[in-house]
Amino acid sequence: MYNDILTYLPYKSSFLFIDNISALDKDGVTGDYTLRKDAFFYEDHFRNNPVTPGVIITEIMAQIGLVVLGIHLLISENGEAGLMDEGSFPLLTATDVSFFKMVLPGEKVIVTSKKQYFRFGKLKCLIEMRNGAAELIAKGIFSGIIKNAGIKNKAS
Amino acid sequence: MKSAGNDIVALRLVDKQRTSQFRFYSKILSAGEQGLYGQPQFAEMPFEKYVWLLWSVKESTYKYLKRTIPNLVFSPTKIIIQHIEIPLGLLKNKFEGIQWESTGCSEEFYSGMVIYGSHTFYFQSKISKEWIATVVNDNDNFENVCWGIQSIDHSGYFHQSKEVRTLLLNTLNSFFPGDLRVEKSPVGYPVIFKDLEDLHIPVSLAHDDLFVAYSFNHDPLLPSTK
Amino acid sequence: MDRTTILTELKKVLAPYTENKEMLDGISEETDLVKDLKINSANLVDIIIDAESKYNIEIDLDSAEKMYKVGSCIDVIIDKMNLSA
Repeated sequence: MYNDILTYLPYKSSFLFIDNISALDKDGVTGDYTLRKDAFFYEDHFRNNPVTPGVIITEIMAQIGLVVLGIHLLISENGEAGLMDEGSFPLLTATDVSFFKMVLPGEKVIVTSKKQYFRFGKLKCLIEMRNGAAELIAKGIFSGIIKNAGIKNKAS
Repeated sequence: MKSAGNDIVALRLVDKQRTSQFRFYSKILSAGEQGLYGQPQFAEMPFEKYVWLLWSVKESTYKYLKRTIPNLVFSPTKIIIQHIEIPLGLLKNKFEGIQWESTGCSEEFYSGMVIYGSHTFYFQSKISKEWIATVVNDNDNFENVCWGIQSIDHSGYFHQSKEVRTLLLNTLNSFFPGDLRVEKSPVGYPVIFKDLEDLHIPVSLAHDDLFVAYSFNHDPLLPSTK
Repeated sequence: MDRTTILTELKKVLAPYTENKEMLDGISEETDLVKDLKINSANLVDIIIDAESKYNIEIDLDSAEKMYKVGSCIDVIIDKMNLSA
């Protein structure tokens, strides 16, 4: 298991959307998350008819597929020193996601990310989310930047 | 002042023959834009798609401007597209799902610059098999611009209007918890209220046939879950 | 041709582009094509072209941008018919 990497994530528990990382290397990552039935976003969305909002789906995909992979790439390049200051944390800058199925409270979702490229501090991934029955929930392109990595890459 | 402008065109309803008539497209495209179609990057784009792509950019720009210039009248040939980049990405033309959302700049989009008088704007457009959708911003950084599209089961003005509001509030609620509602300003643009308070979030709504679309500018300095 | 006749004929021109048939029956010169009749703005060019064909006139861009209310449509149509007469 690769859950050690979760200790590097800066999210508070109400906004951490990763339970498990089951595969992780320089080209991609797979992880899962089970939607909590008492999550804050089900209260308004919608009353008596809770459905997971698209932006939360997007956030889950970004945390597992882009942020975890980004941190892994930083650590393998620079060791833990790569994460020393805040500026070197992966920051989501663009998403382009199509949704195919709804996600209900309590459902487990599995996110798989494949790196498209990582250069000049920009990480771009093709990320898919599937449910327990391996049905496609959402799919899209995510980009993020890692500032300091950009400077280092350019210098090298 | 930050504003928002978007548009969606359902390609199923496009009358190809009529769009290709000079007396039709000359009421939408300026002379320069008619010339721009000759550029090599449009070699594979049918002319009617080009016309409606530019239409959606112009309509989005008009909506962006209307919030600050309430008396503005839409005259498509006065909103002029300067140049258009075509998508380099992988996902072009794909839309198979029930919903689509995006933030930031993406290589999957058509993009470019548009001017109206002394104002300059930037646009991003996505073309799928079924629609052309555009979002406009006053800056070429789209990180705070969120836009989305959903297919609906039947058309009809009141149904479209209800569905596009549901889709928008559904997304906004993840940033702004509580009971949100959409009102219309006297000029006609949408305003977001939480109880009696105007949240001052610039939003734009559009619908055509079986598709509804929203865009909004989300300033990260405002309270949010992120 | 008087304004009332043109207004009646305009209903037929507008009919394919609005679902709001009751509103269309009751239009006045003050009726706004987009706000009141809920006509999709993408159809405004169609309406201009249809009016051009029906009255055998040519509507230039400056006149076209005035045509967002029933009354201003009638103004433009009368103006252009006088030109071609």
